[in-house]
Amino acid sequence: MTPAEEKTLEILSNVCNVPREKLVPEARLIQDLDIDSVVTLDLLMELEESLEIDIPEVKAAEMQTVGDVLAYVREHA
Amino acid sequence: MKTVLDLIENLSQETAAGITEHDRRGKASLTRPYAEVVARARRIGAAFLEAGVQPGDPVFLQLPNSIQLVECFLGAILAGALPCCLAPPRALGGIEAFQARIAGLFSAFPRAHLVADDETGERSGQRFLLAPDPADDAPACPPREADPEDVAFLQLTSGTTQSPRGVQISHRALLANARGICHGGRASPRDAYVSWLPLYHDMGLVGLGFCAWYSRAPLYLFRPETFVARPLVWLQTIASLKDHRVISTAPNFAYQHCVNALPAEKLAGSGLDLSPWRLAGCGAERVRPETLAAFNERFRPHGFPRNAFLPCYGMAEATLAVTFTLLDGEPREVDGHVSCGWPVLDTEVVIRDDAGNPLPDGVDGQITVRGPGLCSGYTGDANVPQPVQDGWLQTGDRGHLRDGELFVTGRYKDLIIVEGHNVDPDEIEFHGDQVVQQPGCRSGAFAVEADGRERAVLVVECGKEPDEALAAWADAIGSRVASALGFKLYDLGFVRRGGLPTTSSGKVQRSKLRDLFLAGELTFLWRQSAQDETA
Repeated sequence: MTPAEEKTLEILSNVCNVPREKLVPEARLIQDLDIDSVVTLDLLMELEESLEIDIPEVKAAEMQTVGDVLAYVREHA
Repeated sequence: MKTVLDLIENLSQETAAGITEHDRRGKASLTRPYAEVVARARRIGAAFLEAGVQPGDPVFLQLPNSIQLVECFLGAILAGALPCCLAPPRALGGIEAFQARIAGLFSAFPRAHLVADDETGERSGQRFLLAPDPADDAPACPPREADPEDVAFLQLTSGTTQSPRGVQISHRALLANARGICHGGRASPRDAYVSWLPLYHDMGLVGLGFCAWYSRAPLYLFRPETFVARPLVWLQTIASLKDHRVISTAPNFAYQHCVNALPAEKLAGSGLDLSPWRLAGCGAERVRPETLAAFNERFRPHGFPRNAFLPCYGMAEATLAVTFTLLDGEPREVDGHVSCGWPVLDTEVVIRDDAGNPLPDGVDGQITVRGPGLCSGYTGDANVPQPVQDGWLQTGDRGHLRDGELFVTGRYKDLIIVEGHNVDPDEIEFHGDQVVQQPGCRSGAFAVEADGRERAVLVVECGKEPDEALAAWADAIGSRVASALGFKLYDLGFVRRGGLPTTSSGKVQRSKLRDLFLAGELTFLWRQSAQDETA
């Protein structure tokens, strides 16, 4: 796991208030982790700022699971 | 001023005030005086005509809150087309729902055009026009005339993916409502507007956008996501406008969000001084006295003026505002309901019973409205009744008057309002029906109040199925709703076929279903509740 992915999991766990062991790649953010729209936007902004990446609206809309977020970070951070 | 074209012409004279846009992180990224905004809008209008847009065509704008969006909106009006702002694809799984929504728009509006940036346009699955960025020497749109009764733009209202519903706003209605709001808010030359509300929302477009343009006041425009993730940015911007009289409006949830996200200790030593905030409108969903009290308590020590709150009532079908409270008065609360004030200029509110007869003071009934700000009707969805009948808007909301002052107490229409956004129960039921494709099975969605906000519940009928099958269906329905609407269902349950109350024509009676649900009188075969999960 790259440092950026490691950081991503840390942010996910903190912002979504979910223990690390629940952050399996197939976990769906809205449905399984029950994050609401406030947390969603907080999460995206936190990822962009901490990892210095840009997540366009359509890209954010394509992400559904923890694995999708990690894959995007792997490619762009 | 008789038409929006006159308003734009007037705005083109303004070389000092303008729009300041902010990037997603809340940093001011561009300021452009109105004279230049209008000059660019004229060139964009010409580019639309060049690209084949015809007068009267709907032009759907899929762009974030920005100067570019404002220029495209005004440019489309200058070209005689009907602009309409769209909500962005929902983050975390909304891409398919976004594509379905755009496809639904093209099928309901065959003459539609979609304007977007490159990336979003590509993913929309439809033909699109790249948002124009014309050079300074590009030709301007030729001047044209409009009748005040012509439709100027569209506002999308609840509706569904399959049957999107556009509210047609005429030049006359827009100007009447903007005039009414500015009159009630006692517009002054020191006014400045601060808005993070999306321009696809009536309160963002009309209440802050058009009112700023009508009075040629500076507009500080933010992205909604900036406010949601960093609410302090909103308050700091208002505080920084020391020489101005700031107008900034938001739904109830936004004020509650500030209270929740910014505890007193976090604000201590921040130097936040909200004294420039003279008009803090609160509307678009139920105004909760607890929220106003909590916000006052938290932010009065930081200069939030005693009389700044201005609860209001309105809807896209009335362009925006129907009533609002008096400036410089404390919001009045009676029996747990906050007063939404008095009708805006030249507007009448009458409470009626089921037969349409006016009701006396203090008696609840349907709120009906007459005035120059009413819309010209719906377009797109042919299956819904027109909202204005014999000159009166049937709001579907319940309330009463006390000496001319309106108290909104509930809703007759089946509508779910999540964070200021209207959701048609049909849209949620559609996902239930798509997953449980069993003959004769219906579903019903409705709103409940939980933790001080509105949440959605879905009850679905089904035949005899093992629990594992029901759990799998629940998962599939929840997933589709999350993707399409961006929220988790508060409660999702299955009942046996025929278990939902229906009318004689077989239509699900959602309000009766809600009553049964709240009384605990539904027999569930299987049920999943967010309440149990947190308990």
